[in-house]
Amino acid sequence: MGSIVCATRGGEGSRAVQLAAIEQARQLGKDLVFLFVADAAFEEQVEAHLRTAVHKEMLWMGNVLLQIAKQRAGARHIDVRLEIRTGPVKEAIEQFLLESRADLLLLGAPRGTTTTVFGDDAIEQFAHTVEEDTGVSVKVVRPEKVS
Amino acid sequence: METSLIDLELGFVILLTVAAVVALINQHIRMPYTVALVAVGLLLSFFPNFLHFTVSSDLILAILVPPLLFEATLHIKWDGLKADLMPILLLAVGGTVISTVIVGSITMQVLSIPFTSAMAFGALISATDPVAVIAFFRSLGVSKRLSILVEGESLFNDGVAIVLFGLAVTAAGTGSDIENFRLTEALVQFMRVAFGGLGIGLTLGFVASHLILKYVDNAMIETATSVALAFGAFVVAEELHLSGILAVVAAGLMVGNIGMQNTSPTTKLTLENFWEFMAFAVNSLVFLVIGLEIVIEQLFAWWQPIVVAVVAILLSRGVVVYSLTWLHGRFQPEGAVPKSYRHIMYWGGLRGAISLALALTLTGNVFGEVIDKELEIMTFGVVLFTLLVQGTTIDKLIRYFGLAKKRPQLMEQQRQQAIMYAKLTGQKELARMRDEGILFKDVAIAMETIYKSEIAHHKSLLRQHLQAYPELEQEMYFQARMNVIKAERSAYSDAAQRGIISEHMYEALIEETNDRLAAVGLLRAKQPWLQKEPSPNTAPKEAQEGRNG
Repeated sequence: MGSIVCATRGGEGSRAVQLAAIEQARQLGKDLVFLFVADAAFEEQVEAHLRTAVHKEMLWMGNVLLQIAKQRAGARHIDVRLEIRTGPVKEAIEQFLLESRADLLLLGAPRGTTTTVFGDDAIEQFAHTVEEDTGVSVKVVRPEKVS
Repeated sequence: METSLIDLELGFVILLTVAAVVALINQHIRMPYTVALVAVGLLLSFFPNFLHFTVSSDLILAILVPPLLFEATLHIKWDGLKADLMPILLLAVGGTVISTVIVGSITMQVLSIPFTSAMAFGALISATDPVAVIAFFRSLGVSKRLSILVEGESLFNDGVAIVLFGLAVTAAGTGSDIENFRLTEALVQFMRVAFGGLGIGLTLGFVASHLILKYVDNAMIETATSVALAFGAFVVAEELHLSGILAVVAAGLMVGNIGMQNTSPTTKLTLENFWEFMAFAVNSLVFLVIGLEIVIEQLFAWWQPIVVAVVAILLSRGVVVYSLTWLHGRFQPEGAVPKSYRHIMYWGGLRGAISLALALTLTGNVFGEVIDKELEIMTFGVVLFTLLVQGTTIDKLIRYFGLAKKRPQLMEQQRQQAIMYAKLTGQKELARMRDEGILFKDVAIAMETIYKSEIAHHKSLLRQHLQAYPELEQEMYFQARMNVIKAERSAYSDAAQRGIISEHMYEALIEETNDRLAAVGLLRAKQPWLQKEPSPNTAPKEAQEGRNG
């Protein structure tokens, strides 16, 4: 039985996507994994002497964000697995989906538009590419759609 | 009146105590600290024997202004300054000259003031003092570029205004007037004083940065050196009849960009803390003194010249800012100053310490008793107008043009958190009073019940706000992470002081901790929602209700 993977990074759509993933896991009775990717591309942009510190802080932040998601799931009596990966965001997510034999990926969308990898315009395209590359269904959750 | 050392000391003690009380009260009211100080100073001016010493021009110019300028320049990085050096110098040099001429001409024509005295007033009132504006920039999260433009112009135009003022006073002393005013002579003199001052500051700043701050690793010695440099650059330049103010600015830029970059993290921290306190103390004294020196009755008696002066400075500021930034944009279109910035630079052109100090030199024997008095009161009137009118409305203009980068949802979160913090503190105080038997039990229980319900209400508002804006959870995380890392840094200092770790180990750990703080700052700045343009009406309904509740 495949699992549900929820990629989270604490942005505008984080709460909505986490709650949607918890609800899906509860309804389908599937395992739920919260995934945080420490963005390697960002690390490369910062000054060399700060890279180690940035990497460590990214992992620290990822741990905290995943713990918040775990608390939310716990409050709804759902057990979850937490996973932190490092690397280019798209590749790291795809690799994890294949490794974990997931059958659904949930991504959160921000309000409005941004130009980042998870931006509003880019998010659908990102989801489509991941779906094509891995064969895993990808669902984009928008903050407005969760009551 | 002869001032004894004890009187002087007592005066400083009283002023600093008043400043501390104002700072404490000001935490709870939405007013720029400097404006609050001036307002309190005005109130205290009704007590004529409040201070037992006379506030002289020298006290402000030679004692209070150098540390203020030095501290301000320490934070200005050359890279940021270099990018906007052209508009800054255009405004600081060209702008001050144009402003002097416009204000001087208007006051000369309308108030029938002699040419040299009108020009002296034009010069002294052209020095901008953006302390109150910069405080708003920081609290509202305005872009660094706008801060550098405003602060950079102010730092350099202070020196230019003083030089122009000196020229006008000298011309008056030699009996010159508009007919026999020699422009070339004045220009040569201006260049000599301005560039001479800058040269002295650069040389002393370079020597101090390279010989002491770079090679001597001792926080106490380096702090002492920086103090000696701030005052020394001023004194040396003034002794050579050059611009002391520009010397201080140049020296500060050298130390901020070279000296402090080459010193150890411990010393850097010590220097930053020392100069931060120095700026707070001196700013407090300066703005209290501004309020104390203004005599309200005189302002009413001389209201007509004050109105003329206010109109003149508003008009000249408009001409200077809009024409020179337009001109700069024509030559450097890629670096043009945005229109919204120009409006803020126009309305943010407040006047303060330098204008006041120069006006206080007019003691009756410069342009004659009546003119000196008139110019002094006009200066007081203009300073007060800019501080109380422009200084209290600039924040609205910043918000109107969408230059406040701090998001409404973030402000609301901070507001709710602050209310919660205050309520919990109140609740603890109530419990303490009850436990100590100060408060009657029935009263304590009644008050605690209300407190509990208020806390529950604000907790619920905060929860709703965080649900509407989940990104604020991450913001909360960043704030908390910064605070705990800073606490860890303090623990290292404590460990070093107790001899638990060596100085060498302490420095290594502090450097590592500073890197972690910088990393958290970078991660925070990377958040996509902070990159987006703020929309002013995004505060949710419950938050709006909470504001009234």
